[in-house]
Amino acid sequence: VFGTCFGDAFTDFHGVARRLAGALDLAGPIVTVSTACASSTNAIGFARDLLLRGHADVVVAGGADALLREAFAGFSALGVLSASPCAPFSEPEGTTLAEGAGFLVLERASDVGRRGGHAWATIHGYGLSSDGFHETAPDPSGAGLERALRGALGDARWGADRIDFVSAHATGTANNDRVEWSVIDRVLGATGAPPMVAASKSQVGHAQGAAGVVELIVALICHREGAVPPTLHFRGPRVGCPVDPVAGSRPRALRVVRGLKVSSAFGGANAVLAYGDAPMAVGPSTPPIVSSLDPIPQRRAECVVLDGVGVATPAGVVRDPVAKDLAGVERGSEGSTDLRCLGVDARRLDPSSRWLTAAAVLALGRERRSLASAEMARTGLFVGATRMPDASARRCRESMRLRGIGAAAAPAFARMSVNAPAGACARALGLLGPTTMVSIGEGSGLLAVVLAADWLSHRDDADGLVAGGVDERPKDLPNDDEGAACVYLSRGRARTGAAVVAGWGVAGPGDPEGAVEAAGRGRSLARTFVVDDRTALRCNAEASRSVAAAALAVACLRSGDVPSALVIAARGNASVALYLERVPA
Amino acid sequence: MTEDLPHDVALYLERRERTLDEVRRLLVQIIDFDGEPSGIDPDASLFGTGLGLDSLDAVEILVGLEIDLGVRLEGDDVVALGLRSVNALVDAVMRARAELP
Repeated sequence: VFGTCFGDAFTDFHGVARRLAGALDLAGPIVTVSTACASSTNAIGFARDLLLRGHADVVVAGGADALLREAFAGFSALGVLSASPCAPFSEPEGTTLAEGAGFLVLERASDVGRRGGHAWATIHGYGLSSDGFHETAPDPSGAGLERALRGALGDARWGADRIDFVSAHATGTANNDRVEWSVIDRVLGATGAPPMVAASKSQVGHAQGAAGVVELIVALICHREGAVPPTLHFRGPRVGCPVDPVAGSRPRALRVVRGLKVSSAFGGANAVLAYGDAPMAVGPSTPPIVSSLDPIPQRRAECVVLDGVGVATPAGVVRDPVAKDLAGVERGSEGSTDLRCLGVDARRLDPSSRWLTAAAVLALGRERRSLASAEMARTGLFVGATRMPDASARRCRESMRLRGIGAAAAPAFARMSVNAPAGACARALGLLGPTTMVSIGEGSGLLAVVLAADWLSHRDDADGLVAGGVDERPKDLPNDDEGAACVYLSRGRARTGAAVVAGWGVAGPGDPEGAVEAAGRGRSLARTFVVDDRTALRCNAEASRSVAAAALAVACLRSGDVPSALVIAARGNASVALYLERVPA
Repeated sequence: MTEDLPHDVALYLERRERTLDEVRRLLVQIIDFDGEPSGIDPDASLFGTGLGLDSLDAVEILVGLEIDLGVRLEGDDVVALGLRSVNALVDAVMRARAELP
């Protein structure tokens, strides 16, 4: 599981992870996670889920980002770079960009014990959320980060007063540091003194998508010596910042049993990891293995219902694609994508964001009903995509070419990250619950759907998730289709005739059998309607095509033609299968 | 009709029209406006229900003013103006060029 902002400098976004897996001879699922500066933190969380669900036995998880001209120019245009090495929580304000990579090896705790290995640490849980506030600035109330923090505490089953140490995101910018500290102080210091907090960007800079894992490794190295890392360049706190974030130039002695790694990102994405010390002593020659807790029993009181679909293309939107209307799925035959008709202000959305938002509105049935604010916080958005939004990326590069690296277009830069359409959609619709952006190439959207189903059936920090894929055709690929497709998944009691998610599987590339076996859980699939890569969906949109296929399967189930359906995508960096059943009368 | 106006008023109106034209062309680039620049209402507010710009677009306006129009607005001007409407932006440009009476 690989976290990155930009992948291989725009051209081959999810190819970096594929080449990495090839070099390491890994045959399991190869997933790229891109939630901007929260990417690698999010990636480690997903790695834990892959282990706990049995989709993999060992996972290499982390992230990498090189410092691109675009990133430097974009941060500069936003006015958030510091002239001197950054001083989180202190003066001067501003961050220092960096590049780098960091990886962990994760195994289930029982496997580590069985083979006599020693773990460095244990990942106990994680949380994700969306601010839904602004493209680059955090929600000043900190409500978004607080949801991710509470999500991680809930996943780990930890009380808020039991945290020893927080490795903060702490970029050094005025906005981030103040909001982050206010949330830590409010949530973790509610009943006593807040935990020790340190900002490792003062040592390693802001490694973008790799920042989370690199800073977690800095913390783990110090924890092994019974200490926590310091915050360098601290000359007294800014207003609203901690008085002593382990200020100094040396690690400070502190035994950390429970720690948190916090990451916040452009697009309003937040990710928080809950990690703890390893159950066994560690020797100096131990490889850096981080274990994951053993599987917890699945809660199966309710089921995950798939009861809304939406497809949006440049030509129009399709509300409920039906089997005989396959052509409609690819072309869009009903209604326009003019979001004003759907009650959404789309004036400042780029094409990717517009299509994704239109598809999400239809999937939610939002044109008929707005979300109440309590629902917003518990409704999230999982998206699959395979490249950056092309129009915004081109506009950013064009502005740099015409006006120089010092005058990049700030709005275009903010909208060119792969997760920007998800951020824009979450903002437009108030989807403030868990959010992520994943890529496996072909089938990315179906992976987002499967991860959403997994989230809803194993966690209680969301009631509903919109999941789907979005594709924006690059100018030099005239034969690709573009648009977005979304489904709405919710936890609840199933009505007769509804489509419920009955199983799912994720396996390595070219292994659809493995994914189908996990999805079917030993059931006979003889009467099952199968929608796979060979089904005659003439649509050629990498990420969203597989979600349109799922929408088609739902239509067939609802019409009563078939009792069950299997949606398979096997051409990407992972094979994904989703098994749906019709609730009988 | 302008023949009846005093010379300085006619000159002011001419400059104002020209500046409005420049500002509209700049805005059209920033907001992907479908249509002619003249379709932008000079009384439209820049943010919120008007043109719907956000704070990042505001940065882009300042950069565009400096590069395309050669006008540098200082932080205090921006705050004082609030850059509320297209006309307020025209005022700011004319003030910076010392073209306001």
